[in-house]
Amino acid sequence: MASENLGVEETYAVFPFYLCLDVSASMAGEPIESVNRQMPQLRSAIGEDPAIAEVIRLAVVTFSDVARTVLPLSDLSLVEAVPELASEGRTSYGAAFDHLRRTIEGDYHSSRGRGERWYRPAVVFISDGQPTDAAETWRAAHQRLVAPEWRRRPNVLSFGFGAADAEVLAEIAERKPNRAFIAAAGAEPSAVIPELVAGLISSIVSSSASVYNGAAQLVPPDVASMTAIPVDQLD
Amino acid sequence: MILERTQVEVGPLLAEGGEGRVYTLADRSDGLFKEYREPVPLALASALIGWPAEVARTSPGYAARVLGSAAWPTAVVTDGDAAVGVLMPRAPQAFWLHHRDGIDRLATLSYLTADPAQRAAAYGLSLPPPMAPERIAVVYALARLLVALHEASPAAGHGDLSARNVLWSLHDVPRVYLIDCDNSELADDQEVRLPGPGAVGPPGAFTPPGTRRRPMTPNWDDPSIPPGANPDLLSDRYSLALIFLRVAGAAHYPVQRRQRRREAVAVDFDLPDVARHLHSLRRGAPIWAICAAGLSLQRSARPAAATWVATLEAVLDEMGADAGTDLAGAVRRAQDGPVGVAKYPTAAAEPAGPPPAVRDVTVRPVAATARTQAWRVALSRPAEAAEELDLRSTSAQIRRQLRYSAVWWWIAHRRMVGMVVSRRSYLKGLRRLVFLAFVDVALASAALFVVAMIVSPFLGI
Repeated sequence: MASENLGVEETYAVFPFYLCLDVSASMAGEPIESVNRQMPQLRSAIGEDPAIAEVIRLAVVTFSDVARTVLPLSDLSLVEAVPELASEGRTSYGAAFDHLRRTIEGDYHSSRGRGERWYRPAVVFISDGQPTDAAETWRAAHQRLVAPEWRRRPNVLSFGFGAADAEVLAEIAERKPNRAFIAAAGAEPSAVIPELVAGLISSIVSSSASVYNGAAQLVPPDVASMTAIPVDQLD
Repeated sequence: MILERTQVEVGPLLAEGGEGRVYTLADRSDGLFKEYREPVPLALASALIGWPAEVARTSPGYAARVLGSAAWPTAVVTDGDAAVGVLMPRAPQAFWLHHRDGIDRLATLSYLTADPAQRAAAYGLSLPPPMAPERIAVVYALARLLVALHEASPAAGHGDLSARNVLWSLHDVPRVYLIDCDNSELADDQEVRLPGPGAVGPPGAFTPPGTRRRPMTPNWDDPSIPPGANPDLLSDRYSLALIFLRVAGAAHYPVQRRQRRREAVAVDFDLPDVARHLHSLRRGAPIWAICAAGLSLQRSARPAAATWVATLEAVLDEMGADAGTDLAGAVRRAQDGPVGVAKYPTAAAEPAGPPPAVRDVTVRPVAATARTQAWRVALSRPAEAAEELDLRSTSAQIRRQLRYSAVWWWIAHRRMVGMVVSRRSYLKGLRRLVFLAFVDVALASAALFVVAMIVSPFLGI
C-alpha cells in the first residue's frame, strides 16, 4: 500500500508536555524561587538542542485559586525565557484540571490547523500541598481530564513535596504504576526541586529520542525501578 | 598506544550516554577520554587504534583524510587486561557554533536538517538555503570521507552516521568532522571480523551473542537492520543517502516511518527555482536514482560512497560553472592538503552507470513551494498579562478558529491539486476534489445567503 507522496512539508510528530505548577501561598519564598532558578535550565536543555526542540512542545500552566497559562505550548527554541512565577492564593486542583482540559483541546486543534501531528500529551502535575477545593469538585474535574472517551486525554505524571498528599497524587496519576512521585518527608524544597527538574529534563530528552522510532514513549524520570510507558499517536 | 587508567588524568564530565561517559582531560585541552560502561576486549580496541597506521601502509591518502576529518581514537585505556576506555581528539574550534545565549555548541547536522528560517529565528544562525552549493559540498565532503573509510583495507564501517555524529563547518571551506568513531567496525572483504568469541558472518546478518552492541541513533537508523542487530557498511550507505535528502533539502523527510511499515516511499524533493535549470538536477538525472537506491531496503542496491562523490562533484561543478567558483576543488584541497587529489580516480569501486532500479523508493524533484510555516521568537510574557488571555478567551478562540479553518482550507486545496496532478495519488485526489467541491459549494451558498440578507433590505425585497 503506497501512502501519499513524502514532501518537504511533512514533519516529525511532536510530543506535547504540559507542566502544571502549584503556585499557592505555601510556595512563597524559597520554593518558588527555586522553581524560577530551574526554569532557564529546562528551557535551555530542550530549546538549545535542535534535535530535541523540534519534536518537543512545552507549556507552563500555574494554578492557585485560578489556573492560567504562563507559557503557551511552544517550541522552546523559539522562546527566549520562561516567565517568572509568583506565588498567589489557595490550591484549587479543580481549576487546574479544568484549565488543562480546555487548553489541551484548543492547542490540539490549533496544531492540527497548522498541519502538525501530536503524540498523546503528557501532563506533569507538581504540588506542594493538599487541594483546598472540595473533593467532589476536583475529582469531577480530574475525571473530565482523564476521561477515556476524550481522544486527547493526556498521560499524567504527578510529583509532590512539602505537605502534598501521596494518596491524592496517586489518584491524580490514575493509580498507574511509576507515575506518581513523592519526596521524602521533611525534604527541603530547594533540594527537591532541582532534582525534580533535572529528572524532568532527562525524561523529556529520552522521550524525544523515542519519538523518532515511530513508537514514542513517555520515559519517566530517572527513579529506581522505572519503566517506560508506551504512548500512542493521536492521528 | 596503550595507557593504564591510572595514567589518565580526567577533567570534568562532558557528556553521558548509553555507552559510557566522556570526560575532558586535565592535562590537554584537545583530547577527550571516553570511559565505557562495560569493558571491551583489548584486541578489538587495539585494532581500532591501530587502523590508521595499518591503512597508511597501502593507502596513506585515505589514512590522512580520516585523521584530518574524524575524531579517530588515539589510545586505548586499560585496567588490567581489559580496555575500559579510549582517548580521542576533541572537535576543532571550526566545528563549534556560538548560540545567542553565549554558549558554544557542537555544529551537528541537526542545524542543517530543517528549515533554515527556523534555525535563524531560534539560534540567530545564518544558514544556507535549501540546495545551496554549500549544503551539497558538506554532503560531498562526507561522501569523500566515507570513501576513505570504506575503501581502505581493512574497511571501517562507522555504523551510526547520525546528525549528532557528523559535524560541519562553513567558516572558510565546507568541511565535515566525524565523531563517535570508536564504535566503528573493521571488516575484511566485507565480512565481519571479531577477535575472540563471536561469529564471522556477512554484513547485516544476525548479530551473535557476545558481540558488542552498536545501536544506531533513532531517526537516522537503517530500517533494514532487524531490532537488536548491529549496522554495517551498507548501513553507512543508507545514512549517506538520508543525509543528502535532509541536509541538501533542509527538511525532515521522515522516510523511516513508512519504511518500517514496509510501504513504498515516493519522495517529492523540493527543488528551488535557482537550481531547476541545472542539467545534473533535472528530473531523471542520475542523482535522484542514486538517492532512491541509497534509501532502499534492497541493501545490495545501495550505491557506494564513491558513486556519491562522482555524482555530487558533477552537481557542484555545474553550480560552480555558473558562479565561477570551484567548491568541490576547495573541499578536496581542505581534506587532502594543498597537493590535493584530482577528481575522483576512475578506478572506482563500482562500475560507472546507473544504479540498479529499486521498487520501494523513488525520489523526484518537484518545484519548491514557499514553506507555509513562519517562525517568530515568542518573547516572554509577564504572569499578569497572561490573565488577559483567559478573559478574552472566547472571542480570541473564535478568531483563532476562523484563522485555522482558513489555513486548513488553503492547505487542503493545495494538497488536493498536488494529488490530482501526481499520477500516483490521482484517484485519491479526485475523491478529495469532490469532497472539497461540496465544501466550497456549501461555503459559497452560506456566503451568498449572508450577502442576500444584508443587501435585500436595500433592494426592498
